[in-house]
Amino acid sequence: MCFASTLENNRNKLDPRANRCIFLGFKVGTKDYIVIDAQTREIFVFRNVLFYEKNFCQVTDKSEQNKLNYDQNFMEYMFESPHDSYHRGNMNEVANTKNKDVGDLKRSTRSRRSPTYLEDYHHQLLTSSEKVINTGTTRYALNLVLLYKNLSNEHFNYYVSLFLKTKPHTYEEAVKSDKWKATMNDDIKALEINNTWMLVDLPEGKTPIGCKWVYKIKRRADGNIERYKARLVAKGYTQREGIDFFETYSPVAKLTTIHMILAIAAIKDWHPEHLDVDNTFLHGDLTEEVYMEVPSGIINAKPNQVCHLTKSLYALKQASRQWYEKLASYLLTIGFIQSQADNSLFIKKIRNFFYCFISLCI
Amino acid sequence: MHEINTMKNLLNTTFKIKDLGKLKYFIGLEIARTHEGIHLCQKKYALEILDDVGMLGAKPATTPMQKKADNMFEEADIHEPSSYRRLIGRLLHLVNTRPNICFVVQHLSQFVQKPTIHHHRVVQHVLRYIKAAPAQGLFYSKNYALHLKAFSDSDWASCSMTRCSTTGFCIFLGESLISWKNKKQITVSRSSSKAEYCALASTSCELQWLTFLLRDLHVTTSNIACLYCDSQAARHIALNSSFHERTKHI
Repeated sequence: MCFASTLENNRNKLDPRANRCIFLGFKVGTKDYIVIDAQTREIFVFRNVLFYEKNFCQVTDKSEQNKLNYDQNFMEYMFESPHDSYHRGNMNEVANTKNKDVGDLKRSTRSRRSPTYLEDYHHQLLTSSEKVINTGTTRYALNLVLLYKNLSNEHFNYYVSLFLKTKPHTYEEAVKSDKWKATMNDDIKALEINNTWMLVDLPEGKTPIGCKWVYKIKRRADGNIERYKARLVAKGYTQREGIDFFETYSPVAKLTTIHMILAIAAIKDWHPEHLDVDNTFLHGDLTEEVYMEVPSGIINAKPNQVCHLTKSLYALKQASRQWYEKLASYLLTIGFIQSQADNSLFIKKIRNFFYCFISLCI
Repeated sequence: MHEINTMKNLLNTTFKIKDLGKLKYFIGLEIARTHEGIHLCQKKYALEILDDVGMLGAKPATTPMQKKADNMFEEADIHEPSSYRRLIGRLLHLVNTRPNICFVVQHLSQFVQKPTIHHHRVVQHVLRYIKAAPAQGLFYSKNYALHLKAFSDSDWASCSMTRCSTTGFCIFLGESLISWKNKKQITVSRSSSKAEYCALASTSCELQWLTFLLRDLHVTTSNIACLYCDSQAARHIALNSSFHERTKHI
């Protein structure tokens, strides 16, 4: 038995200065002790502990006194601690109290948030538990469950949904999951329909630029997943000026123009509408000769082949300019007039009706 | 309405287009429309800035800037200027709907190279001012005639380091503010008249551009654009063509 002192900030004048606890073991790599609180049955990592080695304390337990099917993992955990013999005396009591928690351990893969008021203290509720998993001492870290009792159900669900699904960083990680595989296949299909590249042998003296997959989970406001999104991006930072790209400037709408249009819209009762183009940058045509490595996920490529890009990809240096040129030429063919005052403004007049068109690249 | 829909369909056949309906949220501008006019604000953006800086709980300030301190250049440099630079960049975007912090932001953006503790304090004051009314923005009323009005002013030798003057102007269409600017002049003016005259010149440039833009939009304004200036001397120089030879370089 031991006494762990309570934290100064959270106690009142009349609150106890220390809690009765049972020593469980040492935390690996630090000078802390792992203790279980006799009353609340919480497990702490704590440094300020006073030991009474002669005394044993009974953990208060209400309902589960009789169930003694203690968990094997818990046993292993106990035996890992250096004071094995010392523990055997009160192991049963402790195991008893842990039954309920061990039963809940299916949830233990969730990530944890310690309560904010504890963040500044050394007294983190067994944040080391992940380390325990890694070293393979226990299959389930015991203490994960205990952390969540402070959170309301709503919060808890949110955290689970937010942290349980993590996005992959590399292609190798993503390809293991069917969902990500499906989205990547869709993306490749869309690119092939678009004729983004041709597979060719690499001509001499050319260096291909790299490419990678970027993954994103789109969420709704309540934390539910809307969809998984994968996008192939080129490593534009490996492009060299004069070889892979020439001009990169593209005009964007001036904010004064937007203010002006909105002010006139208010006075003349126009209808401002908002449109968004899907896969914007993939529309632009490339005039430069750009070669890219074959992205992972394409099966029908022979070795030593590279992609000769005919359309622009995301993150290419000239992507926004190519898109602007494509849009501008299209708008001019269908009868719009480009404004001389602001090049990103296009106007078309039909009878006494005006279209104002702002092209804006992001 | 019919023409709009045909145009949307035409665009949709060439590019795949997502129709987001009525203009409500656009590059950070929140646009609300009533039967009286259009309101623009950047509430979300302003609150995001405050949240990122951790000043959501700060005490609101009633003025954007306090009187300049004399010892502002004697204080120590900020240890980590990149966060200051990022903050100034975000405030510059916020000026799109808030001309009231235009002056202080242009003042602070002159020191992004080497900000001191003093500038950090001024930024905090601006943030506290933003907190006082995060949803403040521009209102474009529908009840006014299309008429360009420009107001120009200057602050003579306002920069204590270079003795350069500051240009300031704002241009209204009807009663709606559409363009404003606050900029340190690049030349040193030896008299306040010259500073005013320089400001007048840059204002008329902007006014000219806006008239071109209005012409491109096929909007006919009710009469000629008016340019207001509070300096007798500058007005006199501008009106009297006998000074033309001596002042046309401006």
